[in-house]
Amino acid sequence: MNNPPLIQIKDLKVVKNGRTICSVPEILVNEGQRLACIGKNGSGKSTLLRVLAGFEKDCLGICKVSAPKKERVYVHQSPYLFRGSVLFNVKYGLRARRHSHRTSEKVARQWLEALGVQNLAERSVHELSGGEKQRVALARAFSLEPRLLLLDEPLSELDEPGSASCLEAIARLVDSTIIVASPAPLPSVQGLRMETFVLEDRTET
Amino acid sequence: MKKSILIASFICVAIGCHPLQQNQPGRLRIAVTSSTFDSGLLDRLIPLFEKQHEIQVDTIVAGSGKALKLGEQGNVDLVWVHSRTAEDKFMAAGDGIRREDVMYNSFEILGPASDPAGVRGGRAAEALQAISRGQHWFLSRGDQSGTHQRELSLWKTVGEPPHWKQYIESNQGMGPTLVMADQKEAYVLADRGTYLKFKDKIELVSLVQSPEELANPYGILVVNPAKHPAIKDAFAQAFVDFLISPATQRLIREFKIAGEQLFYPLHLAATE
Amino acid sequence: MELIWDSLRQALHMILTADPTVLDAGFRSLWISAIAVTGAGIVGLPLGSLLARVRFPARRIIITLFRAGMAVPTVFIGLLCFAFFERHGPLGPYDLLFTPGAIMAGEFLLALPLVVTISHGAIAALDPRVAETAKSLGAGLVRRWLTYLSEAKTGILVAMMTAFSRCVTELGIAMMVGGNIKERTQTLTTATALETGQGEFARGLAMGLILLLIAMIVTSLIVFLGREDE
Repeated sequence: MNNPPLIQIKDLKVVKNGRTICSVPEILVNEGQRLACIGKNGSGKSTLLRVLAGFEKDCLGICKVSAPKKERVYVHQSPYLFRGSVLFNVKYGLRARRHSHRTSEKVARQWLEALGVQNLAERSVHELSGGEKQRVALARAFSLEPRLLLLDEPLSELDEPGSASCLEAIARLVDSTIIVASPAPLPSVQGLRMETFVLEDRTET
Repeated sequence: MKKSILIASFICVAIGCHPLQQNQPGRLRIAVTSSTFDSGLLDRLIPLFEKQHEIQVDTIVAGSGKALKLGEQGNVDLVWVHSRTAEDKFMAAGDGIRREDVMYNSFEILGPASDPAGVRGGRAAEALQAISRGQHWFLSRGDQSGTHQRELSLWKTVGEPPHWKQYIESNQGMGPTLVMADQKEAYVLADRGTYLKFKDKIELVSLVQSPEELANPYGILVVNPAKHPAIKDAFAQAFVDFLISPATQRLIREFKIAGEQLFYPLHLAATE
Repeated sequence: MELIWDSLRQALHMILTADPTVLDAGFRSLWISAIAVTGAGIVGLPLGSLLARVRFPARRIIITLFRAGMAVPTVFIGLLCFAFFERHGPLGPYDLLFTPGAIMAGEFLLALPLVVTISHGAIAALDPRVAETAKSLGAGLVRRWLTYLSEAKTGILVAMMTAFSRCVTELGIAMMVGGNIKERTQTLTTATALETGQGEFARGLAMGLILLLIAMIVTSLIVFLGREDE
């Protein structure tokens, strides 16, 4: 492959209030690669994802992402669902990309099904449990089939079967570059080849 | 979706029912004083005029001073006030092109029944003098209205400008001023019309009625269209003609409050 | 005490007999303020969002000015509008003095600082994840802005209710630029002032009670419409 890497990081440091909260010596990610970023709490993995999403402006070192911000989709560790129904939320990104109501709804329902929450489509978001909210948020992100998908601890609220269906859904995103932050290595799933990158704790306490 | 439709329809209904209503062609604006308005005379006369001429009349209530100012600015077409000196100044300055006497009534000095200053039955200027010397409570309009200006001219004849602690300026219309005076059991100069209207609401009584000193003539003035091109001077002239016509003058004479005649027409020969 | 009982009786009588003065003035108060507040919403909500989300040099000053604007006396606004609308003022040729339109303009100026300041506060207080999620999902400027307003809905509703209440109960503007012309620019507040000026305290109080009733109904309606999806 002679394509330039999608993500190039070298000597990245993020400093907030005088403390280094994230420190990464080098990462190279190619288009289509799947990376699980493992690290303890406070190791800076969330911050790394936020930097890749473009949310952190004060970072030192080199951080090049070849995809424009529009093609990067980030899911918070504790995702925020907009007021309204589940369907409204999952359609949100699709409607933003100017898909019709019909198409958006169709795709949205497909991904809700992929994550096992299709029966929640008409419910109001404030009625959902933590795990349900997380799956809806993932469906919302996955439905866009983004070029770069950044997931911060996507399985934190899910039980085993939930985690399994989530990983299977991720596997369906064949064209996306996916980076997952996780405190522990992810279970392996058919069709999902994830490389592991361990984020050693170089942050200051 | 439902919500936005509801809101939109409410707005549409609101707008549809009541267009912004700018000053339409068939409309006449008159500034009148509160004493004229509160008496209820206008409710009798204006509908007649409106029907006869198919012109809509908007009455704006203001003290004589403010009413003349509105005329000076060209914000009204006609001014109907009772402040002769100010009216003359208005005409002299070229702000009006026609002035007619309309009617007169009188002022009276009201006060508490106990009459601590002992002014009952006496003359007006001396009454004010006694009140100020005795430092009794007195309510003044203080707003450059016709009533206020008459009060000031009375003070001038006795040479003492009002200046003691119990002399209060209400800066409001005749009605509220009477209410204040009543609350404080004070003396007050009031026009007979407002007094009759408030008679059963207040405990003040009429102590001084001195017709020579306290006659209160009303004049109507047409604002000069040369200074303010938008003035509806044709309608204004029509209204003035209406007001001084024998029929209307008779109506003014016949107008009564509590069985008493209030205004005396100035354009009616004794035989009419 | 007798005055209060008397006014309650009068208020009931006015409602039961559909007193024409009260009906006319009340309806006028309602639609004038409704349009003024709607206008203030259309201009003020985007402004509030802008001040909450975009950093530009004069931002602090503008926020402070709008905050101060919430405390402007209605008489002051009335006088200002009078100066603009009167015959020889800059807007004189449009013949707006002593019309409902003039009152609407004044109440718009009254409502605007309220809407801007309160909506600014509500949007600035939004969870930072709202903006991040919206941006990350690819929402454009307008969609993001609508999302902020939706997420800050409670605060926005408070803004609109406050603005409406302030407008429908104000007297200074309606008096100065409306002129209290019967069946043309008479609002419930100016009608009340007229009645009390003529010593009819019970009627005046009664009208005030009815005004309160109207304000209560409208604000309840606003809350109800806002609660649709809860």
